[in-house]
Amino acid sequence: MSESVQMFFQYVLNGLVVGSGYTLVALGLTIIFSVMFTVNFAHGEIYMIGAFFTYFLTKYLNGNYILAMLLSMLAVGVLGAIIERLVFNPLSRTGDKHTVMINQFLVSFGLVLFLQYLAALLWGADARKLTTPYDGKVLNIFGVSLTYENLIVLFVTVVLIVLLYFLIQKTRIGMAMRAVSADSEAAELMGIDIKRISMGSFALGSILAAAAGSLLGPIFLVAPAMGSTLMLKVFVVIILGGMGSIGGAIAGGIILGLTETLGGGYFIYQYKDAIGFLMIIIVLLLRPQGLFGRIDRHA
Amino acid sequence: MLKTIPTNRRTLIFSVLAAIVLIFVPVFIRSPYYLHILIITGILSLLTLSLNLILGYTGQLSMAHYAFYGIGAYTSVILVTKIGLSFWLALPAAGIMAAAISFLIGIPSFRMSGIYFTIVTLAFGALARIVFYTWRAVTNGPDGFLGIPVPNAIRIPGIFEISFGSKVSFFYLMLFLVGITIVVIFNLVNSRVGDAFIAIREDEILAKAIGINTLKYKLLSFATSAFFAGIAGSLYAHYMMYISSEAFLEAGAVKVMAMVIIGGMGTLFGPVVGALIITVLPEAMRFIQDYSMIIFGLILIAIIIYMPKGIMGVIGNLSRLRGKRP
Repeated sequence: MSESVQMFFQYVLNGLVVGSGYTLVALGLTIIFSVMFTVNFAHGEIYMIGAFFTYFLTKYLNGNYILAMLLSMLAVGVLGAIIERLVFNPLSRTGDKHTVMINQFLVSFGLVLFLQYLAALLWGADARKLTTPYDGKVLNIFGVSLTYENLIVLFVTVVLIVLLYFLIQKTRIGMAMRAVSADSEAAELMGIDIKRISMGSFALGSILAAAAGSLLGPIFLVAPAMGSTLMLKVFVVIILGGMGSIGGAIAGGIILGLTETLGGGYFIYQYKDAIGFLMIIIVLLLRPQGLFGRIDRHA
Repeated sequence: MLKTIPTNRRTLIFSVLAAIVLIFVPVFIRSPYYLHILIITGILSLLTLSLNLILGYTGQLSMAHYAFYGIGAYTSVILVTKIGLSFWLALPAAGIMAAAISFLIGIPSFRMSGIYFTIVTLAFGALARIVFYTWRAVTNGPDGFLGIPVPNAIRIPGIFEISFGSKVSFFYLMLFLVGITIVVIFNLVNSRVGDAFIAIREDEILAKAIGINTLKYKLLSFATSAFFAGIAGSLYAHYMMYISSEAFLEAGAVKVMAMVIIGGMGTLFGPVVGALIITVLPEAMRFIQDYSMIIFGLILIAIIIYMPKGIMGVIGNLSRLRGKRP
């Protein structure tokens, strides 16, 4: 294969890897938004905590990265449930849906400050490298290098998406979540426990964020501020794909990952991060509901 | 319904008293350190007052104000240092630039639901920061501008001259500007325009139904608030005499939002109170400086859950509780 073709596929691969991370975080955010009608601004901090837990657990477990990731996901899931119960649930009865959404959005600001600076206090503000036993191991296919870590990211992402599909479409809990998402009042009247579904959805979203943090940790560095920078990108994904759409989150994540690496590689490297934000503006001007979103009736 | 403005007479008395007290502050407080804190509080008050206009009174959550703050700062600095304009022209120019840009963002995004507006402003804020950092030709990136001149002295030949080299004179300048801003906002909010803002905040669909052109009023509110944010930025630059892209990080934006919420959204003095508390408290409690942001996060969470009207909101309600007429 010629060099430029190799480079192209390398970019595509990198884009898919980064895009997978974006997708997982966006999926978590979308689930929370679909079920609870909440925009969780602190989602990035949960991602960051997932990364840190994996970092510490990997060290503690002498390099068993996969186990560390699974334990981190579990721990963060529990943490998410606690956060939902203590912080978001009290606001759920403060008024109509719109008021509740604004209040929960604002409270998540407080969470951002609290979690990010707590992390900085506990673990220091410096960036660390999440070293895994697969560090440096590379597969070389036709000149395109695939690190083992990249492979893990792609594999785990696919597995999680498939599991998510089964959960939401084929289980009773998933059906309950879909019911609450469609019409929470009707769902409540049908006997669904909204409080528990909300808590569970938030936990699920958090688990996905933690997975993303654990997966991207070895690739980017782990630091308390990593959540904030990510969140902005994730909002781009959500707008691209359409708010509340799971398929949109997946599509948007991949698209953003690919455009960032391809655009950064072929065009303007320094403004690579700005690509996403420019895309938002274009999307909003041309097709505000994103690729898969419905026209928003909550105007 | 949020309690908005207390009776005009009460506000007037309170403001006059406050003004008298504040005018004499530099007489009693000589330490440049304390004056510095007050000046920073004042500059941030301009910013919080501006955010309160779009958020507290019109109900639109804008995450772009910190970017307008930065845009105002850079506009003013570039006009003064590279073009040689007088600060007194650059100051309003900074506001106008911020307002113009807010128009560009507002027009497409106000047509969609509130959450889209918020996300667009969020994206814009991030974009602005990237531009501050990367567009070195204009902004000098992280190196920034050093030695920004203080505002030009005001001279009336033969009578007096006010120069702005000292903190005391800057304090008065800031006091004056904050006062004017409060007066302008007060008049705006108590007018029919203000009624439209509040109507949009309370129930936008109903507001449209009774014939209010919500797009026009949302844009007006947004542009006005961006104007004041830009002015705050200009003041900041010429006070600190140094700005760089690192002065306008996202963390600051969240802090400003916290000030507005804690102080009381939709109240006249809430933003000032919020700015005061969040600026002064860490200084007063040095020993917990490391924990200050963590505590603020908790305070913010607690306020939203237990005291959503903020401090001034609660104080405004107290007189009602005591049986006095609101």
